[in-house]
Amino acid sequence: MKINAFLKLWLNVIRNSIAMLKKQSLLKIYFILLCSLLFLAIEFLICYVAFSFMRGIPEVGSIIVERLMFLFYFALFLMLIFSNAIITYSTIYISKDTELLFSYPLSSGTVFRYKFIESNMLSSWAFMAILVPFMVSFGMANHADRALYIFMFLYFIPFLIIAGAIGSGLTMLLAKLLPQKKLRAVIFLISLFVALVIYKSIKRVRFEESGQTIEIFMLNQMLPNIHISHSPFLPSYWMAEGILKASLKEFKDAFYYFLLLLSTALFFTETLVNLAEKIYLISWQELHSQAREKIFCLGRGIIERIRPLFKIFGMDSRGLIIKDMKLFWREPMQWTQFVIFFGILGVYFVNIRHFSYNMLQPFWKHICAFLNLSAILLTLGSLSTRFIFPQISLEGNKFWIIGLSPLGLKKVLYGKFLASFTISFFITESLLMVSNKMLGISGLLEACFIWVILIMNLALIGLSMGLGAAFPDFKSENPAKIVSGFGGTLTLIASIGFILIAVAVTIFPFQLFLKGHISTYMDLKKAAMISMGIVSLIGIGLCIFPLLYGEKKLAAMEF
Amino acid sequence: MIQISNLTKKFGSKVAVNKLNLEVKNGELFGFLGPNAAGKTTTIKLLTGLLRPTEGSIKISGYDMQKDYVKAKCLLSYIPDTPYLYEKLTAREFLRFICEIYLLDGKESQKKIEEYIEFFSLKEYENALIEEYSHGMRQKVVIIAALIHNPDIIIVDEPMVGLDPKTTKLVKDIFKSSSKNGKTIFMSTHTLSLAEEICDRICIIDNGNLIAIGTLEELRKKSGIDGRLEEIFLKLT
Repeated sequence: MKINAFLKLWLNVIRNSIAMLKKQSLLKIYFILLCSLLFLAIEFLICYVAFSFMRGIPEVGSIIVERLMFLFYFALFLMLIFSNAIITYSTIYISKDTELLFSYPLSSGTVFRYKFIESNMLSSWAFMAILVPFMVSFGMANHADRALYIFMFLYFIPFLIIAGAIGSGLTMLLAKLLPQKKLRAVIFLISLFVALVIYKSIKRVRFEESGQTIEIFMLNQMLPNIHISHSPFLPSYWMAEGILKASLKEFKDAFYYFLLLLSTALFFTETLVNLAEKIYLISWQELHSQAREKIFCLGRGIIERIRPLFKIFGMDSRGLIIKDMKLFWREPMQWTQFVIFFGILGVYFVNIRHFSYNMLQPFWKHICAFLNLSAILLTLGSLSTRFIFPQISLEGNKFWIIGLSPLGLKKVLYGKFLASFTISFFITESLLMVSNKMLGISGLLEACFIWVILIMNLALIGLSMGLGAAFPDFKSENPAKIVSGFGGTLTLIASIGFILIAVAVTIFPFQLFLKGHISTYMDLKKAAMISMGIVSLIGIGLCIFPLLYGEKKLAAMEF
Repeated sequence: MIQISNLTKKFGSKVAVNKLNLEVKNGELFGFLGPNAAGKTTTIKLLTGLLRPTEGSIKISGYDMQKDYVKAKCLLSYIPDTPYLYEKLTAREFLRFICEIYLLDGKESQKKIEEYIEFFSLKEYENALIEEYSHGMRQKVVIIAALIHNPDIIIVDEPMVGLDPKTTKLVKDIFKSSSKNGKTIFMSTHTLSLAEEICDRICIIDNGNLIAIGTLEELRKKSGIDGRLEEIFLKLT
């Protein structure tokens, strides 16, 4: 009965939100729909070409596809757990409606059930969007039976629930067992431990010892054989194995894996609700009873010490930057994502020599360097959307304080932009330097990469900051919710689109050179300069115009 | 009836509420006063089960707030000072949600919603989303949500903030008539004239400690001031 009330609540919220959407510009809605469809179509095409290519490789094609599936679902499973853990913290502990709900005669388990569905959906929708074209392209490239798609759909739901239950359960246990002050350190240590376990489970083989051809060796290295991903105790294994069986029309086995997923999802959900019944309300109460004076002090030492570094921005902008840094530091659930994603890249780049990538022939070395560049840029693109875009929105109902201050909104916008740019440029450029050094690339390619990183930082940070100012959501306090709106989706699509263009334009002259279409180094230099010119032109445009648009919108804002 | 025994709440080393003992009887309109950071909102959050006591217990009509929190909460209503409401719902939809949570009969609750919307002059805005409401209108919705399931005990934190004079009068009258009908009202406020006007008994706390409790006359005797509540309050705190 009470769950029915929550279902009706959702339906009303969704219906009203759609009604509000109808009041907005149709052009805006069609544009975002078109962009989203285009994005999915491109993803489908890339995956389809990749699956068809791999399937066509004699002898090892099916092994590579199989390994890719296990690896993909394993990575997806971990990301879903992580995403659920973070979003659950916001939805079950921080969200203001929990206080309202707990003031009513609702049991801890009832409130949790409702909040779990909410956080599970919030955490999973973006992954679902990525998953659908990937799975459909796999089916089509393998000329699979239609039943495969039914199985894929059946696997989706329990898979998402299991990951959600683990993520939410972990968050709840951590919140219960640890005081908030220690939460940051523990989350960091757990993430580090998971990263180390994965890293340790990667089988490292040197090219000279492998006895393989360079192509097979490279494919093996690009799709590392992570043993954990083949563990039959993992839901990601059941998902991958089930899909592979269904693609081979072994439906009995495929159904067995579905039952495994379903029963585990039911078991996990039941266990989680029982756990919530016992500890959710208590942990919620404890979290809201933390020693306030101690939480208030978090980060004071470190950030105050680096205050003089921001002197160049002027006293007023420095105040704003220091405030933002303190707020960011005091939200461990936010910055751990930052540390983990860039941390994984850092660990990988530092260990490039263990994989013997530096011993590769120039063609493969270039491929590897471009893949590393793409990885840095895609991480930067998603993190700038996740962290930079919501910055103006997160000022929330306090926005009038800076809005009415002599600082002026223009300075606020550009102050935030400069601070974000400085930090992200320093991190990404350092990562790139490590990758270049480990791979042993230098000269023209290195110079191009350094330039591309600079331009991409300007473009991606400017785009996120500008569109974040143009499409603010001052009502939501959850960054994940802010990003999932129109502006956030547009930023993510534009960022990924530009990253693909920038990498393609950068790689083009070097590929022509390696294939002999450009014969001299001087011609390559000229072609590379033209490429850099194109990337710079688009990048600077993507930085300036959204910032100007955001500035204009902020100036016209009433608050 | 509210029974508070030896109630203590600590935030780290800070004691927000210190060994508070209180009993508020049925039909009593009880004023809970204190300067800023005296521990009023913390006490209210403990009473509503939003915080867990470090020591002591709270009983709502005999039900322990920690052990039988669902049963205890069924009997009470809470009107917070800064209410959270679902922004994407209309007032009617929100109230219907509350009725369903309290398992109220569909037709009867529909009738009650109609009456209250009319009574609080929200008819004109009933189909607008709450996100478009002013603070006062939101406060009206929260007050209706608190009254609609006919609770035995109403716990209120600064009830009149943002309300226009007409609605303030309306709310005062509701509180008075509810207490006459046997309901318990536990009201925290800084508006001393309001407490003086409508409360049967008044309690003053400071730094988490109970300073004084009793009728206005009893407080006058205790403080030695034969004047307004404001003077008594300023002397005692």
